Parts: sequence; C-alpha cells; structure tokens
Amino acid sequence: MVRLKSRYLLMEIRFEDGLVDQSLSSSTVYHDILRSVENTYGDYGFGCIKMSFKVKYVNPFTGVVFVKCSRDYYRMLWHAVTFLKEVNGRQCSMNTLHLAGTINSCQRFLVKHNKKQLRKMLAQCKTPAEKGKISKMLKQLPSAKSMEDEKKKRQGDLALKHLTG
Amino acid sequence: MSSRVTAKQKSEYYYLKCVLEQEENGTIKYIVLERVKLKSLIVNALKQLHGLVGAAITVDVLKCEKTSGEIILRVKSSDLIKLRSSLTILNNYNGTPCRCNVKQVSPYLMSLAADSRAWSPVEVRGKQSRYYEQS
Amino acid sequence: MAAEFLEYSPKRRMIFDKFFGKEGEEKCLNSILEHHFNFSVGVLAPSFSKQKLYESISSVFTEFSCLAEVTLTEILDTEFILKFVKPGSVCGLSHGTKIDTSDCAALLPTGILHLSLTKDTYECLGIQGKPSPFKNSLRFDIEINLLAQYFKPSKKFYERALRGFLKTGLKFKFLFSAISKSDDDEPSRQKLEAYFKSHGIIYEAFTNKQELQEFSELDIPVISYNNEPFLEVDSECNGIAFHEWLGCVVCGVDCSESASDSFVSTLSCPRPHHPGKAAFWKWTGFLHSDAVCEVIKLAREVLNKNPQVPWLSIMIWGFSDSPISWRDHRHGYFLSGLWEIMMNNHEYIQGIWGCSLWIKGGTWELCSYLALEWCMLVGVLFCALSLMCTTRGATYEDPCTRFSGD
Repeated sequence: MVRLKSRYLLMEIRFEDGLVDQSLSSSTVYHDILRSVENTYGDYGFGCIKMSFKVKYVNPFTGVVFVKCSRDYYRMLWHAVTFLKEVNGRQCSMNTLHLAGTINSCQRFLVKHNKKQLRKMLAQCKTPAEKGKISKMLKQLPSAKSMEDEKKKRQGDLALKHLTG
Repeated sequence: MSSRVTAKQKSEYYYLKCVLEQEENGTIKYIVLERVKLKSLIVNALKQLHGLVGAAITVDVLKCEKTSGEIILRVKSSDLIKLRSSLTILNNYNGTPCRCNVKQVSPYLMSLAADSRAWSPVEVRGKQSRYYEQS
Repeated sequence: MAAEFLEYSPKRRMIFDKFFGKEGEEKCLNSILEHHFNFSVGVLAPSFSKQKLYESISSVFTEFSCLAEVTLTEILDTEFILKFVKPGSVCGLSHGTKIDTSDCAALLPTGILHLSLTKDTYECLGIQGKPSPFKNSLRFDIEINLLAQYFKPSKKFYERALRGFLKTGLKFKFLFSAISKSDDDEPSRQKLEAYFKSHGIIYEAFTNKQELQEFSELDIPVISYNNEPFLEVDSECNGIAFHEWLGCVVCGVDCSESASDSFVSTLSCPRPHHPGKAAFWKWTGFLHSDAVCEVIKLAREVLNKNPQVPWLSIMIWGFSDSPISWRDHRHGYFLSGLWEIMMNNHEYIQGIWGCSLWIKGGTWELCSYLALEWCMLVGVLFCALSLMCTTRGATYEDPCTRFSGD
C-alpha cells in the first residue's frame, strides 16, 4: 500500500491596507490560490495541484491559512503563492511561515509564532487596558515548559512504539 | 599526433523539426507563418500549458520555410519537455483548428538535414512524398 | 521536475577525433567502411564554386540499387546465398519499416542477417535471439550468419529458420544495393537483375538523388584546428559551435541576421567569421560505404589542388530505421547515425595528407531516444494522454499505447 505523502504550508495573508477581512473564507482563498497557480504554471500546474490541494483552515482575523498539498508539487504551489496579488478582490501579499509534513507540527509552530507576536504587541501597548488583555491571552496559551514536556512525551511515545513494533 | 575529445554527455540544446498542419475537406495543408508570428504562437501555446514559467522559456525559431512550411526550433535541453508538450497541445491558430506535427527531435542540428523516414526511393504520388519533394 | 525526467534521457556521445597523416586517414576510412547503410552524404566546400565542385567530384554513387519485395525465405535460398551473399556483392535494408513499431531487417555484405522484431513476431518465429538492449522497448534481435558452417540446408538450424520464416511469412520491401567488385567477370548489377527476373521477384530500380547548392553570401567561421582551442569546450568557436554552424548551413538556416537578444532567434554564427561563398553537394539514396570512401579520396585531391580552400567537410547520415549502426552495433530510433569528416591541409605537416578531423554524433552507445519520448509523456500525463494519441501521428503510437498498458 502506497501512502500519499503530503505537505502542509502555514501561510499568512497580509492586506495592503493593514486591515482584516472578516468575510475571508476558505473557498475564496482556495480559488484565488488556484488561479495564481494556473497563471504561473498553466494548465499543467493547475492539473498537478488540483488533485491534492486543500485549504484546511482560515482565520480571517489573524490572516492565518493552513494549506495541504501533495509532496511532489508543493514547490509549485509555493512559487505560485509568491505571485499572488489579490485575495477576495483586495490587494495583499502572502507569506509562507512554515512548511511541515503533518498538520500537527504546523499547529505547534503556529502557537509558538503567535506567542512571539503577542510578546511583541505587549511591548508596543500604550494603555493599561490593552496590556491586561494581552497578558491574559498570553497566560491562556500553553507555557514553554508544558510544550517542552509534551514534546518529550511525544518522543517517548514514538520511541516506545518503535521498540514494541 | 592524434587527439580525441569527447563532448559533454548532455548537449546544451535540442532541435526540433516540425510542420503546422491544417485539415481542410480531408486534405492536409501546411500553414506557413512568418517567424515572428510563429514565435508568438509558440509562446502562447507555452503560456497556455505551462503558464508564466513556460512563457519565459527561450525558444529560437531558426527556420520557417516559405514553400514547405518546415519549421526548425531550438530550445535548451532542460526546457525540451515543456516545449514538446506544448506543441502537442497546440490546437488552433487564429481560431482555425491546426496541429503541430513534430517530425524529428535531435540534439544535433545536422541530423535534421536528412530524414530517411520521409524519403521514398521510387516516385510515389502520395501526400507525404509530394511535400518532401517540394523542399 | 523537468530536470528529474531528463536524467533518464539516453546516453549519447559526440567524439571529436583528430588524426594526422596517412595512417589517420586509413583509420578514418576503415571506420566508414564499417558503416554499411548510408542514407545521405554531403560535401561542403568553402570558397569554391558549384561548377568546380561538380567537376572535381563526379561519377560517384553510380552503383545499382533497387527496391524489391522479398520474403525472408527467398533470402535463405541457397542460390541467392551462393551467388550474392557469399561474394559479399549485395547488401539490403528493409524500407518503410519503423524500428520502434514494426519488424526490421538488414542484410550486411558480411553475410549476416540482422532482424529486429517485435515481441509478437519473435515469439511466433521460434528462433533464439536476444532481447533488445534498449530500455523500455519490448523488442528482440536475431542475428543469423548466412555463411556459417552450420547454416546449410538439411542442417538443424537452417531448417528451423526456414520453417519459422515460412510460418510467419515475414516479408519486407528491401532496398538492395549491388556492389561491383573489380575481379568479377560479370557485373553484379546484371546478376542481381537476372536473378530477380528468373525468380519472379518484382523490383524497381532507383537512382540516387543529387542536390547541388551554392551559397554566395555566407558567414564562414575561421577555424584553425591545429590549435587546441578548437577542441576545448570553453572557447567560443569550438568544435561544438562549429558543428552547429555546419548544421545551420545544411538545414538552410540563416544565422547571419539573428542577434543574441533577438526575439525570434538567438543563434548566431560563431566568431571570428568572414563572408565568403561555399558549395554544397548532397547525395541521397541507398549509398554504399565504398563510394563514400571514394568521395573522401576525391575530396583530398581537391584540397591538394586548390590551396584557397581552407577545409572541406564531408557529412554522412545513416538510416534512422536501420537495425544496425556501426559494425554490428544495435541501433534504435531517435539515434541518428550521423557522421562528419573534416579535412584540411597544413603546410607544416608535409602538405600531402594534412590532418583530418572527424566528428561522430550519436555513436554506438547503447541507448534509445525512446526513453526521452517517454519522459515527455509522463510530463504531461494529466491533461494530454488522450490528446496525444490523436495528434502525434503514427510514429509515436507505440510508446503511447504501451504507456497506457502499464
């Protein structure tokens, strides 16, 4: 049995005007990316990507997008995303944050990344109300230690699984 | 005092000999284009199948025979597959259906000068042979 | 991705050899004699007029050739073997057969019959052969030495072959060429014609086509191949660039206009070059290698007599559908048997033999360009498979159907 290997790309949409678009849905992102692929790689690229391409998750507030693609053609997708200029009819650019083999590891990266961003925002805060809000959010996120533990546990599980077959 | 040099295995360029054909009432006609028009037709075909990346390929139109419609193209060997596939998919010129028939592909331009498959030793009045007699 | 596919592209080799003196020339002639089936021969002479070339190289390629439909049992006929195969006065090649899709046959003057068969025919025939060395092709090669001791009527192998040929009824349109030997009392042409007539074989004689061209304004690169740069890969006017330029001339490509930044074509004539005239003579047909050697000898005389001619180029094209290329090396389609010989005189090398340089492209490397066609198929698999069958024409049906069969 052959497994279909895939890659997950964690991407971020940044609109030109710096605002968020609440009407952003996964289907609009899907169609815009596909159109960009067709533009850069033609019918052939479209055919290659279409088979396995999926938009797994879109967060309209942070502009974060999870995209699944087959392992053979993810480079094509990556290149095409660079040439993407418009999503939902608005000027934007797309930025690839992370490439991973599983959606889980993508998510872990996203947590880390968000934490970094929140810390940055914390430093830029001007009013105490904003500060309180962000520090509350930071507390809700899993701490560095718990993430480390989880990682160790996962590795232990994997090792055990390997040993026991 | 003799010496021998072997050229690199991978040649830099590939050469294609083809004709643009058009079918009208069961007879095959050859479309003769100017070199510039032909180049834009090929670039469009590349763009259709391989997008902007394909359109960026350098294709040299070396020859466009006026009488027989014979075309010789040159392309970098890494782009040969893209060009060849686009020529296969090419299906219309100015709205009229046509096809590109690739006769020979070779890494050496010189091998395109003789085509033993199209040659007939005795005079045969066929479509194929008439075309080659012209050239 | 394209790069990955191209890695499967077949091996081929282009060899530049440099020879000096009489020994070198003989070496060169010997290898030409081993290339039995020549489709076309061309001579390019710079700063030479059409008329002069015609006068100096004439009455070559006059041997008799004909197209006859012959079954293989007729070739195994003892009378035919005794009369023609044994003295080595005939060579034959199947015509109109395609090496990638159908059965092909070749009869060498050395008395060896080469068959390149599809799997179906091979299995029906029941003679032992070898699988074709070309990858991706389900073909089998059979080699029968018609002059061997064990290949006589009433011997086991002969009977077996005869039975097989009768059963399968293999029939080819053969191109026959009669080679006249000087010690023959009767010209082999008449012998062959008489034989065909007496056995009721329909044949059609044909003559070789000639084409004489003159280029009045041509940019001719200046080469000096006693200097090493000609053979170096990095130098601008090296052998490869010069070979390409020669290709331009014989294909009728005008490379004088194009610049390196042109929209249409970026191919330009290698530098340094100077304008001049040139004459090109091309013969097409079923040419025998003895006559090719004759041309080379005549060309050598031209060089000796005319000091204004800097070099001469002799090009030889093989048949693309011949099962054999050099000696008894296998040949696949997309492998062009292409040869080129260049010669010039240099005063300091005694001025008599000079040096000759010969370039071989697509030599006896065991490879098949079919692999390349395959790569392309895979490359556009998703959208083009069905389209390709309709547009590619008869030649390419084979890889296509086999691909879908896999």
